[in-house]
Amino acid sequence: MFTALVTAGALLAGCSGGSAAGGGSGSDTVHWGTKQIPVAWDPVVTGSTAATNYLTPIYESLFTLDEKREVKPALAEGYEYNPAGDKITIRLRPGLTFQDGTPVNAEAVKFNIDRIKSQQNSALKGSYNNVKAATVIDDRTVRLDLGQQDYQIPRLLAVRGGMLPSKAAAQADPVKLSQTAPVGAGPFKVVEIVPESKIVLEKWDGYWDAANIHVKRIEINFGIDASTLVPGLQSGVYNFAQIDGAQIQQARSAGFDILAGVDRQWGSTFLSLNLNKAPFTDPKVVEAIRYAVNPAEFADKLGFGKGEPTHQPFPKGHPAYVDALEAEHPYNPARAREILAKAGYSDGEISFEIGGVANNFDQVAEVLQEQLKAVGIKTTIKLTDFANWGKGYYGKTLAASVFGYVGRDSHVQALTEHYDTGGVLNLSSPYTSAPFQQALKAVRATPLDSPDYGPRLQAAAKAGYENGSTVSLYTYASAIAKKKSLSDLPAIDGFLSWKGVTFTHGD
Amino acid sequence: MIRTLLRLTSARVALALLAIIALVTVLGPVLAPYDPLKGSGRTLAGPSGKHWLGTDYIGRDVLSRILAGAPLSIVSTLEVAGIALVLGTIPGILSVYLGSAFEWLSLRVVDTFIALPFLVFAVAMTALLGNGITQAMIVVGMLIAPVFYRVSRAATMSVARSQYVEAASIAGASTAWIVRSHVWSKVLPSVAVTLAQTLGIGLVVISSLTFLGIGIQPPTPTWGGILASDLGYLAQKPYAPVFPTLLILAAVLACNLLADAIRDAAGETGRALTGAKTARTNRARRLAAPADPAQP
Repeated sequence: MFTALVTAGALLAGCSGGSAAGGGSGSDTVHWGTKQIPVAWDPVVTGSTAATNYLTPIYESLFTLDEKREVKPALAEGYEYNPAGDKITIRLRPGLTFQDGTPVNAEAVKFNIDRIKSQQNSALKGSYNNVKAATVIDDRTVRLDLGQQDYQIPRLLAVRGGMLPSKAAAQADPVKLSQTAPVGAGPFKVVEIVPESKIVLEKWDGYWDAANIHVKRIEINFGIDASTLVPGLQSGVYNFAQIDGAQIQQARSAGFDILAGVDRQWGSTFLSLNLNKAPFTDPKVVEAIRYAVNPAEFADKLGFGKGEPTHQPFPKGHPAYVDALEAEHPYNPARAREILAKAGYSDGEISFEIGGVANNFDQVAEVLQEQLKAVGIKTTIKLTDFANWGKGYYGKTLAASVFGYVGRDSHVQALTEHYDTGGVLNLSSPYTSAPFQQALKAVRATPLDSPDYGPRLQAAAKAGYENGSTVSLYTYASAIAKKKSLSDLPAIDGFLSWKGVTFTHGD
Repeated sequence: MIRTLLRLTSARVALALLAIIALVTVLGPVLAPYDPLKGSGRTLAGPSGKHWLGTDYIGRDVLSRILAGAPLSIVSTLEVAGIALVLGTIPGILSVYLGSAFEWLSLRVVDTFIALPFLVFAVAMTALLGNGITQAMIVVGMLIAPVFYRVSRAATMSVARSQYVEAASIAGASTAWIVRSHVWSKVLPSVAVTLAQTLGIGLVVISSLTFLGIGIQPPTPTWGGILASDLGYLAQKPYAPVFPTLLILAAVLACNLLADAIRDAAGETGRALTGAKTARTNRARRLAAPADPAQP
């Protein structure tokens, strides 16, 4: 019944042919289709995830990123560190307001940082571990006191980790802000939300850089079956869609632009292990799993030409990518078996449940299960809906789960999420390792423009992976298909920026 | 009734289809040419001499998965029908005889279940009970049970008011005796029709739930699960969903044909089973009748 409807929808959409007409090309409206369904609209609750693509039109951050991935002013006009590097003073632009008319001021910044650190369902708590306090200096100036020297803070406060909701809206009703009425200071304001179905956004003229926003309206349609997205583009229902790797060729053949590259949007798929739960309390089991995993098979079967086999949660070319890690645990099932045998485990003695989100990680779990079976590890797959899975994953009660992430604007934040106490992707939290903490301290204390920054970042990435509980499976470039009438979005890692994006009429 | 039924062409076609499906269900896992869970390097390959229906996204033989998936797909459907039958029919009959309090309560419960959005309830109950095949079967069975409740209650009410039942009651027959001797024979044909329809519905609903990731977990093959995953690779293998869809369609068609045949064979009264000629007349009358009695 349901499948029949989906198929019929796909066929009907496809029947309209590949016309470039419709879909808002004449109305400066982005008709956006995605299979994703955001569960929250408060950036504090959402965290720095792929879902921020839907939040960044509504919320602006203190800082933003340019195409060179350098930090640029946004709601803040600048920042200054003290000589010791453990305090940062941020100066806001004058006269800014949120979409509800309340002021963007130092109080609002402090309020949101306090909320990140104290709100029970905050997904950013771990990322802000090193921010100890926010102090209002005057209406436009706020100071952050840090636990240790840390030059990553402007990156943490940029785009994915630093979106600023209205203090008044969050104070009045945080649930309403998160579910039905998000209010920020971004380029678009919310006109309508239909939960789990769609959101309609309209250009907000009060945005500080409104002159650079040419798109008038964005309509995002959620929960669209992936197989219907390209037919939807062809029929003009959408003019912008986040598609799966399996659909890239179809979209390209139909004449749509494909934006896909690790310089834009990428994802990393990994297995999170809980070192506090058997059988992963034994480091030999973790080591054996690392040898048992074959990233090349994941990339080949699931990447559709956009996958990359990596033994670390970053794609090649990323500043935190470490060449040495690739050689540390190459695919070697014989070695995995040998490690398990030496540790006293017989064939099939080790068994565990692989958790995950249904309809997102099914194929990943299936390939992984077969790879582990080949070395004598028995697994059962248990996929559930996001809400139920999230209770176990974020509550750190699952033993193992497949999951993915899309990187972070602060490279250090990308590491702390995986390997630090409280990191949302650290299933073993509060576990963290001493070598990682030492390397983390060093990279935080290194200015981003220092020649030592790269090597120290990679040293922290290496220490984190080696001593952490993440087993990387593969990385891939996420794909967007769009009509040619919509100009390219700036290529900024993990950020769909609508600045400068225009429609060409008449095609 | 069975003899009458077997003389109807639709019933014979339905039973032949169901026999084939039963055969596939019993022998499918044995007949599967490859391990249905084992992948290979040949992903999304088209039909060939080695793989008659091609391979899936991780290189598993599609024919083997369809054959191996038959028992779970069919047995889970039978489970759903059984749960719905028990949960719906017994309270439906008892609601007529157990007094107004039970009648009121059972009707309100049934009204509530009818009002619940099907898939939303399934998702919520799975969240509550856990995501497993048993839980999914219970949920679907609960949601289909009101159909059995309504059908059995209506049939029981009509027989409960008949003169021969009133006569039996006046003569001192107990409620249990009346239900055993008079009510069952009246209710059973209607329930049998509903059961046949439910088998068809159950198969599609189980497929829908598998499609949503509820119930059966990967890599266990089911027809619904195979169909769901095939839809993700339409660009590479546009014909792939046809194979599991044909099987689901055949099973649903067979159940519906059988349901129609039972109704035709049972006749209007349901109690006195009619001969094949009358059954064919019933069928002709049913097909000639307007879909909406209010329409001329």
